[in-house]
Amino acid sequence: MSKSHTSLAITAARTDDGAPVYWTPEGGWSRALADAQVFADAKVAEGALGQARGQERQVCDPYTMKVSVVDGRPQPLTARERIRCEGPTTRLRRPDPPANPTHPVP
Amino acid sequence: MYQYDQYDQRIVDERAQQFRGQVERRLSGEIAESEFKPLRLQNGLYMQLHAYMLRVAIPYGLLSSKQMRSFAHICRTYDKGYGHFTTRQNLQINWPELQAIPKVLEELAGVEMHAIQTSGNCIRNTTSDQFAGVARDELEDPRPYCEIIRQWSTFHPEFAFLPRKFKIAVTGTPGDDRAAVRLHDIGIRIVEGERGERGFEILVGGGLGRTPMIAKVVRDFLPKRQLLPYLEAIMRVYNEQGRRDNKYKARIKILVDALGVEEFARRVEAEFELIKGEGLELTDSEIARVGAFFAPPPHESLPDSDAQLQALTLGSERTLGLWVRNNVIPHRVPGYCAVTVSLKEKGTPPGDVSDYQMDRLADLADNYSFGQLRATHHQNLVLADVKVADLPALHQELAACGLASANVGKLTDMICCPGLDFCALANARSIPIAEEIMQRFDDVDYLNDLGEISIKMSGCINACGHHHVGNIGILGIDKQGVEFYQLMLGGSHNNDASLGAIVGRAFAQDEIVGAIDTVLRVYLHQRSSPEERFVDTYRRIGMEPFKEALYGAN
Amino acid sequence: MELIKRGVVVEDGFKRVADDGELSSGDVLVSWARLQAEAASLLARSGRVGVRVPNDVDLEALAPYVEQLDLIAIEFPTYTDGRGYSLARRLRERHGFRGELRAVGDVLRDQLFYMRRCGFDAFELKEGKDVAGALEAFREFSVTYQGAADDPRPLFRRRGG
Repeated sequence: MSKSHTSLAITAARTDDGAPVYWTPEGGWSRALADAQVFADAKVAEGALGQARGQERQVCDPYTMKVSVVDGRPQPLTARERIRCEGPTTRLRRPDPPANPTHPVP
Repeated sequence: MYQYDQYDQRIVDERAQQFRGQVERRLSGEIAESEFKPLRLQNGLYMQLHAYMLRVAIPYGLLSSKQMRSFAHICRTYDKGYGHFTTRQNLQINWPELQAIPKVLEELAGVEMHAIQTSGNCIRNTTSDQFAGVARDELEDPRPYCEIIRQWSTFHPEFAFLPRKFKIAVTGTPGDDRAAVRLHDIGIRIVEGERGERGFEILVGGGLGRTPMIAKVVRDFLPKRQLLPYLEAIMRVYNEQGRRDNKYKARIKILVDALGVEEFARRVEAEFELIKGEGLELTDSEIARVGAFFAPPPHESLPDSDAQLQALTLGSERTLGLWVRNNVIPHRVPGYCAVTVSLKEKGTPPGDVSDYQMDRLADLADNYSFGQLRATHHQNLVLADVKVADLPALHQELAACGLASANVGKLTDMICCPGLDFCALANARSIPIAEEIMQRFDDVDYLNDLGEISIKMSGCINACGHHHVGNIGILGIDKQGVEFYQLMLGGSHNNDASLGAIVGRAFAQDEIVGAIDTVLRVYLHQRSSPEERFVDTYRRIGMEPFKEALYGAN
Repeated sequence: MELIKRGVVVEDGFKRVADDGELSSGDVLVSWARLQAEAASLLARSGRVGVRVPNDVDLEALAPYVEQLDLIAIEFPTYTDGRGYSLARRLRERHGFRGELRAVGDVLRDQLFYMRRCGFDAFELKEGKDVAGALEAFREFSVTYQGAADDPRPLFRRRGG
């Protein structure tokens, strides 16, 4: 049986490309939620959030998000954070049709 | 179409340079997001869930094949190879890196395009009728006035920081409002005065969002030359008197509603009287100068083709016939027609087009429609000047690049916002619901049997997907982090504009498409004849039969 | 206090006087409330008088003083509150105010161009902002479509010239 409980992580959008990033125990940022520092104590998380907000060049608008910790790994709790973490659930681009003699691909 | 002169060009060039400087200040760390945000938001650059999103203005939806090729190049080079056409006749790219944006803006400026005022609390891209200049029922081409408004509103120094965003739409077809002018902050209808002279009817205070409202007439007839003084008067009254204490009550519709339309009109007229003499009055030469850019393309002299068009719909090639029947409308010039290219194709989010398809569409515009395309507020594209004789060939070429869906005006011709898959404001996803609808209702005979019907879907209350005015409206909501969908019925966006009503409790993600199926069954069962449209049946029988079928008798 | 005035950085010549502060000699800048309460004595002084007004000031009440004022400072409570632009145009274009029109409050570099077009000729940047760097903002655009306080003719009346 896996054990799960609710904790906090810190997330933001990366300035260079807007990608979701997560605050790591080393005081930096990672694209993977798995690397995120997990806070059981909201007060400690608030303290780290202050530190994260200091990194204004690297990221935009850091905030805390709720995560459930399943088998030691943080998991997003809401649809929004799950989609931020895992990417759009839809196919992004329609594939080109195979080239054929009457309609050559330019 | 309008072509930039040295002045227009300098403005977009200088804007691209200015934004380059602003991006450099952000990337160097000189300014933080809090200070950069208002700058990027004056230039259509949003921060979405996964990346920045850039919204490019397509003024009143009109674009050249050259501009479409530029879009293709931009999507291929700086994005993931596709773009998204929106309900406001704009194009959005979803994955640009910040340092690429100045390059994108420079490329756009090179083809007379920009992203100026595609976001922020300012006057946005003016929208219009996708069949402007070709529709048979049109009184006058609205596009010259759209262009005049575009220039007047671009970097207007007084109205860059309004209480809220501001949208203007113009139609030249008073009988069939394809520009949904009643749903805009200002709607402008070209009308005839008592002596047959042309002028404008001005409506104010329409809009969707949290508090949907239909615009009200503030001026029955405005002489053409007074267009800009009158707009300036409306804007000034709004800028000074619109609410700024609550962003949800800040649109002009709330001001008009609070004052009452008579009092609002009185204040506008008082300001107008003062502005009138200040040099903003249009000149006949300016109207003629801009108008000349929208002269019809050099059509060939051809015999009348209505019978030919009719024959195609009934011809032996069934796929072609269905497509002509649903996607093609007659033209005012004999031998020609206007073709809507549906961007609602199974397997692709509504409004999305790949870079490959953009290039092909540019070629098709060059080969079949004088090198021009139009984006519609239904998230489709239009080739407006196609020879009827060319339809079979055009259809074949569109089919070869996956753009021959014959569903214009039908159930699957949905309007759909990007939703929670992309949007930072959304509460629920819209694209997967749209896809499920496409999969479930993909039988062309069934779609044709249902006839004219619209589904409009928004992932949140901001209503980018216009759910209030869908015959069937879907609104995504969030219940403790889980996506749910409210169902609305009875909305309409045309001349008979009406707002839909919520049927009852919201549906879970795996229930909502089944609920739509139920609604359609009730309609098919209850309609008085196959000619009675969904919205008319709804207006006749009311909500109860639908409610009962959806939720049971209790 | 540094100001941008007619395109150059200058020291503010007006002394700010609090509502209960003593009126010294020289040029003074007072609140709208104080101007209304003490108009006669204020305007009878030998020094120049300026007033700082909120952006929703009753223009009818301000109008009688306009001719006698040397400076009107319009407050921008936040840069997103654009009422000051309309007020500035009314003062310049309707009431013929010829004195110094100053933008104060949340005044940032990227609004200066719009402000100048609406008739402002002096700018007190928000505290901590780079005053010299902000001067670049005036050079970013060389063409404008609209008529405004700086030139009443819209581009369509200047085009082709």
